[in-house]
Amino acid sequence: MPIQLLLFLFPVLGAVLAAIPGVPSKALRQVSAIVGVATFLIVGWLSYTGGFFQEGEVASFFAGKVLRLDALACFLLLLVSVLYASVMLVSVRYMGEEQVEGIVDARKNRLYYGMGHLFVLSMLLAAVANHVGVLWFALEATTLSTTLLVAFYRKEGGVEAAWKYVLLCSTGIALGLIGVLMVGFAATQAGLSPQEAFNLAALRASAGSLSPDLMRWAFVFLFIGIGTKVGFVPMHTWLPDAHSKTPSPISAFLSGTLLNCAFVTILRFKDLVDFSLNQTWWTERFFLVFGLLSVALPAFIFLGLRNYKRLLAYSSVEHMGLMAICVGLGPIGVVPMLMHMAGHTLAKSGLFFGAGEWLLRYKTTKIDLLPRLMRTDTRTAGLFLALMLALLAVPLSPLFASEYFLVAIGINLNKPITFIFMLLLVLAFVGMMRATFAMLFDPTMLGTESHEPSREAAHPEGWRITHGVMAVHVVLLVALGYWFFTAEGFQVLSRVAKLITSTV
Amino acid sequence: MISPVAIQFIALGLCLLASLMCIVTLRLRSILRLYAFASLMLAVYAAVLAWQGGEIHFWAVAALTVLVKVAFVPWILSRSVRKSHALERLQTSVRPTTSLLLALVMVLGLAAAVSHWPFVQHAVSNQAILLSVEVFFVGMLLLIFRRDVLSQIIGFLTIENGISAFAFATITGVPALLEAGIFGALMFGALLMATLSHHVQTLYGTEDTKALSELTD
Repeated sequence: MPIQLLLFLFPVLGAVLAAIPGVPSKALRQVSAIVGVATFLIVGWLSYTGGFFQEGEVASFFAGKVLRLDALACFLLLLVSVLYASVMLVSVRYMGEEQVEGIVDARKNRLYYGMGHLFVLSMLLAAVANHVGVLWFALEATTLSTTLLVAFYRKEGGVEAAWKYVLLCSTGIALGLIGVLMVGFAATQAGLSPQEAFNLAALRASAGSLSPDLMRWAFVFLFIGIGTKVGFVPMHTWLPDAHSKTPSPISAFLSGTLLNCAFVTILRFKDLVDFSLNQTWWTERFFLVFGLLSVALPAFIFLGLRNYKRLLAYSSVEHMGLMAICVGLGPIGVVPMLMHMAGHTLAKSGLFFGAGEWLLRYKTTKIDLLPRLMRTDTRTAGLFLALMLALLAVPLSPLFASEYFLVAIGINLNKPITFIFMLLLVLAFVGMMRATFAMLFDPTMLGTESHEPSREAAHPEGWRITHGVMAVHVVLLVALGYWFFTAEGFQVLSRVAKLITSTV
Repeated sequence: MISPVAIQFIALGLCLLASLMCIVTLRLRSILRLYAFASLMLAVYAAVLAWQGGEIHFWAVAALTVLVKVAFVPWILSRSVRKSHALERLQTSVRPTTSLLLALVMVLGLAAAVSHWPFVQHAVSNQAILLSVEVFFVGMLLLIFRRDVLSQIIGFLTIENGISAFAFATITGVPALLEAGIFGALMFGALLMATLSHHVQTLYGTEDTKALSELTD
């Protein structure tokens, strides 16, 4: 048995454990935390020993090269597994508290963990899939496994969000399937065997002989279809609803890594299409247009938002837009895109952990119903502010590195677009900061007449595991922000980028 | 004796016709039956391909189509509807006659434009591709025009039928892995959507998606 399959061992065990009726809730929470950390250690070891620091494809494994490990897969796996460990640790506190308060029962607790582990399993599969069919199925499985988590609290808004989520994302993935089939069709037309026609590595090896006409059509379907899952404007309508209605640790997961998995899938196909067309500009236009739209809309919406979980969700749309603009600037933009992806994952998930802490204490997601958090919840508020600054790309954050490179490259390539982009960025900064200050210092800032916090927390804020996890994210962000500016960090990312930009 | 190609054409044509009739009908039971019939025709198409090309693979696909799309999915949906006591009458935002007219315009438009599609110039069976794409878009229209949860599910499933037909028509050897994945995703998806539609019915007391408009900015 290939050693890489160890990757899936712990999530499978976790899912099986959650499926056993009558398993004690507390034990399930603790074992799941161990499962998360163990998976992170395995991924770390696999990435270190083979994959992350090597060129090209490292290992194809399992049933005729259905799965493979390369530096890009390792990069995604690391992000997923760091978050897996964090989310499962935070969930010990979050689900424990909700169960004490009677919001969830033992059955719901099992549903949460069962679906959570399956969700991670599908993301891990999507990261290492080499077979296009497996990749497609893994993406669809991410939707199916999280739908019940979106509808978790069975309240009206949650069910509405889940309905939009499953219908829009499934339709999107169905459109993606047409794209996949067209790529397969183009490959069989070019003389590849049915086995090769659905194998990413084989497709890449003979992408030059695929019909450009067919590949263009395939890309349109893939971009719109999987782009729905990424949350590009205007296909984003499900995202703020779904990401704000799930239990907060799962929101962190959805925003932090699921969007990345979908994004990287588009990039893998983009590379094939670029090969076939023998140019990159044709596909880059899609990224540029949808990227700008995805930055613009949230930038305006931030100004009017009163709900802090929706604020974070819309910010994910914005950051996917930023990543798309990076890709749209040409192959050189892929390195900043990767920096951005890593930084966004860590910062956004940390912010959702903090948001979860407040939701637990004050039972509301409305900013104007919160007290002055910097006074009442100093620990959470301090860490939230640090993570928010990282998300808004102040120096030392990896997002500073990525946006710095983005502007530097953009100014040379296309001045008007870069100028519009910077304006939008400022607008988004103002909107996010205004909401953050309102939450932390003065809820009346958002224009509400009288400030009456509806609920007071029952206990003073203690030191929770959530704070530990958020602090680790802050440290990781600073470390990455520094590392990306070193020659070695840049080199490693360039090697990852090369896997999806080899036309140049 | 009718030739196999003619049977293929008839089967896919009937599949399209049944999908078009889904757009007209506002009765819950008949839309489920129409979907089952459309899926059955898809299975017939796969069976003819199997018989013609002698590929075992297509026999399996035909059998799975009957099991999953003709039997399981309609059964699970009607069970969920019965359990939640949904109304027999479906909701639409565009009147059935207008929807049908628009659908027909679209079908004819696609037929007129077919010679310009890149994949048709390559393909062996142009008519099959045209019909499959038309089924796909009819599903899209159903998804857009209808306002109740069940019709939207049927719309999604019709889109999926179109994609399956497209796969049969273009690629003779869709890998078994992908095929299994599609059927698996479809089964779980239908199960999930049925569960959700039950929640919608119990929470809102209606299947009308107009009620699902609380989350806006």
